[in-house]
Amino acid sequence: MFASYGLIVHLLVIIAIYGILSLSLNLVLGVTGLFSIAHAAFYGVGAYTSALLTMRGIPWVVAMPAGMVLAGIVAYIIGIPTVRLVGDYLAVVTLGLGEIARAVFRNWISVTRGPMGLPGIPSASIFGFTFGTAEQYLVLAAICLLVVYVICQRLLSSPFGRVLKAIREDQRATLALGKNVDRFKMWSFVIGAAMAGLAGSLFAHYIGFIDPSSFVMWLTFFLFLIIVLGGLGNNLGTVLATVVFVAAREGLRFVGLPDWINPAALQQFVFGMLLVVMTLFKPEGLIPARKVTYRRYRQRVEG
Amino acid sequence: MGIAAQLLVNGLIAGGTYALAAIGYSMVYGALKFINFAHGSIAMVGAYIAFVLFSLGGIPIIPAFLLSMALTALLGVLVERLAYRPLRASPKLASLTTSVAVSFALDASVMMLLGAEIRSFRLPMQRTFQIGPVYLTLVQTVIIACSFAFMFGLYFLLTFTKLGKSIRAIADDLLLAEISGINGNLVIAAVFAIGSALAAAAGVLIGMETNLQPTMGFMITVKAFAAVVLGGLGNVYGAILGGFIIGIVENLGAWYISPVWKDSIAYVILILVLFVRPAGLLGKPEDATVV
Amino acid sequence: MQGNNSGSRDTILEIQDLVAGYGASEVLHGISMDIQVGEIVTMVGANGAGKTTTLRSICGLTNIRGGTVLFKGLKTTGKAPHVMSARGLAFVPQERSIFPSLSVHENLEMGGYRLADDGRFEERVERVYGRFPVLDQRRKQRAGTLSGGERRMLAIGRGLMSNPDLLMLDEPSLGLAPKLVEEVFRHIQEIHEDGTTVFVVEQNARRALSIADRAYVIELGRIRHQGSGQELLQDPEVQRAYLGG
Repeated sequence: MFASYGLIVHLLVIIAIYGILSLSLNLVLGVTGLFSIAHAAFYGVGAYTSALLTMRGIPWVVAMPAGMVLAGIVAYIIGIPTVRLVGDYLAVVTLGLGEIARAVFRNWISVTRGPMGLPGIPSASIFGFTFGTAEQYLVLAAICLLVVYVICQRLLSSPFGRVLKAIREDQRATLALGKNVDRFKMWSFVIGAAMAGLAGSLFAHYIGFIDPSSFVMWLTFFLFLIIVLGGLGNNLGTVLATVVFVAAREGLRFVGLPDWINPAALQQFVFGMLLVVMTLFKPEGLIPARKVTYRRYRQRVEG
Repeated sequence: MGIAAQLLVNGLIAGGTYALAAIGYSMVYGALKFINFAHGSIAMVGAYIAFVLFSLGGIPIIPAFLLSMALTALLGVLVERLAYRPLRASPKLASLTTSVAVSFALDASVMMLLGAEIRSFRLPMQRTFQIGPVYLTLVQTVIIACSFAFMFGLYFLLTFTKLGKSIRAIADDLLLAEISGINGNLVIAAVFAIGSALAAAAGVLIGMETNLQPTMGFMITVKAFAAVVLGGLGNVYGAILGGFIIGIVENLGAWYISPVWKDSIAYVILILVLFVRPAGLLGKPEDATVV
Repeated sequence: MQGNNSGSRDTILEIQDLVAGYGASEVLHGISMDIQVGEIVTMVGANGAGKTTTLRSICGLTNIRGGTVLFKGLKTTGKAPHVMSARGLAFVPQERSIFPSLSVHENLEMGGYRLADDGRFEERVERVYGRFPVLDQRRKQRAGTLSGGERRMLAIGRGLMSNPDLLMLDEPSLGLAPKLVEEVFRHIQEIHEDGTTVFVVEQNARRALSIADRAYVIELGRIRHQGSGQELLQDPEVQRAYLGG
């Protein structure tokens, strides 16, 4: 029917890109408990940097990491005044960062072409091999997703990841253990931002066109829903929830709706209510992870 | 000189509406120690209720305005009861996420019921008059008068009434307040009612000065948010001060720098302030840091 | 008169086999005690023995797993703290016992929150000011700016404002200079003499036992000794463990 081969490949690429985004937000919010709303901004910084550099002849293998680094640097600068403050401040400042980033994409017309967007972004290529078709691109995106997933899993089970979870569970007690909480939070924030930058680069070179509307705040809120569905801090759950979410979002487009219902509004309403219901009734997510409590963490640390 | 005075007054008009919206944020933060993201959307719903009553229902603007405040107060209480109270003992992340979701759902509901297009009150009060070097419309005069009246009313409530004092007591220490005999749930409901009514006022006034859109809630959230943190989280008077500062600086910046950066200026200031004074202008430093 | 005449008309508080704690951890492993109308009862014990948890359980602030708490013959389990306050229970916590950003007078108003505005409030607040003249001088001052001793007086005054049938004090002497400790105990004695039933939990065992009609010694969540204040002061085991001799 409508589920043609081309559409499925396209959906899989989108799932891979959203998967990277969700995993990176999961590291920041789900694992460390930092309420960052700027994820769409880091995604955008990665996309614009990578796109603009390749359009000036710089190879993708350089441009993509540059986008990641720039996203990380922005996160670092934002992190300096905020990681030491209680979570609400990070929420406010990252919300602001999202707005500023959007204003930059829209208003720095000499570079970003503003609302007209950037057309003709070259395909990604590595040492002469160009990922020109959707299938080839799917391979690239899937490899990136796999790498990000493995890194996130490793981080989760490393001493670093255990400290991050301890911070989420009980920041005061973690401090009492002599951990430099702010530095751990900062690293989590920066790494998460850089991964979002990677997703941005993948998106830009896949679609070939970006404009400020691709990086709106709603995107971050959709990512919230994904990681809440997947269970905060649960990487596998996050990836599975991404699949469910992207499929559901595409599926909603094909539901026959009466004319008076605005499909975008319906989608937003459904997702909003779903997020409320999930948080109220199933906060551990649809796929419960093994619970790592702070008590267990401390037992491990203290032997 | 004339321009500066005009910009200052324009800033005062915008700042007044931001301050009204910021009060609710600040009060909820005081009582429950979480940021209610849905507050901007509640203001938007308030604006639309007044619009429906006035433009579609034919009710005169003043009763429509007051009725909208009352109904929005009810909405705020309902949201607290259904979405936030069950999570009061959960980690703060849960309340934050839920409030984001409530904001989602409210925006979408209005979009579905009334459409996404821009609406306008079309009030017959656009006549401009001149005071010294400054030009004002009647609507703008009403905005300034209303925001000051509501803020004075709030000051009176918090300082002299039993309810107001218990709102402050709860912000200090909810548990101690309950031990002392204060019904915490009732006072928290009152906080949501008052905050939401003032948000509705802000929404209606913004709607009168500019226009209405289902996405306006997000803009209100952004501005009120910045105002609250600038003034000091949980400090109602700080939120009011923050609202005026942001309104004024925005208008000055839009003129002297460029109007396209208007919405970013508030946040640049905010981030700079956080570097120097994390607790905001009137906040207590110990509330801002974890240790 | 001071036996276990539980269920009698004069019992204001009766606890039976109370098992309680916070979240997953259990602090009280089955304690039983009672307080009669007009008594001053104390509970002494080491840090972490479960004294504060006992008080918090009476107010409904812990996770109660077993046993019953009867206040004036009615079960307290599942009742909100403000409901307990309305029934005549006042609790003065050990820390965070005042509203720092409210004025002294407003703190007292919050204590008498449930009083109808029929003049009884004025009468009662003046009585508190009479008892604690230092508060009278600072009516308009922000409570957060008071000294440690003044805060303690304000907290006790706040507890008295509701005219409670039972006043519960959690370590009222903690962290105070010796002179102030004496003053606090003198106030507690006077409050008791004026007709209020008092339950005071203390680490300062010697001082607490000396003013108490009856006392309980709590150890690791269980009642170890009980008797009149004088009996326990003489008890060699109690002396060794809690009175430093």
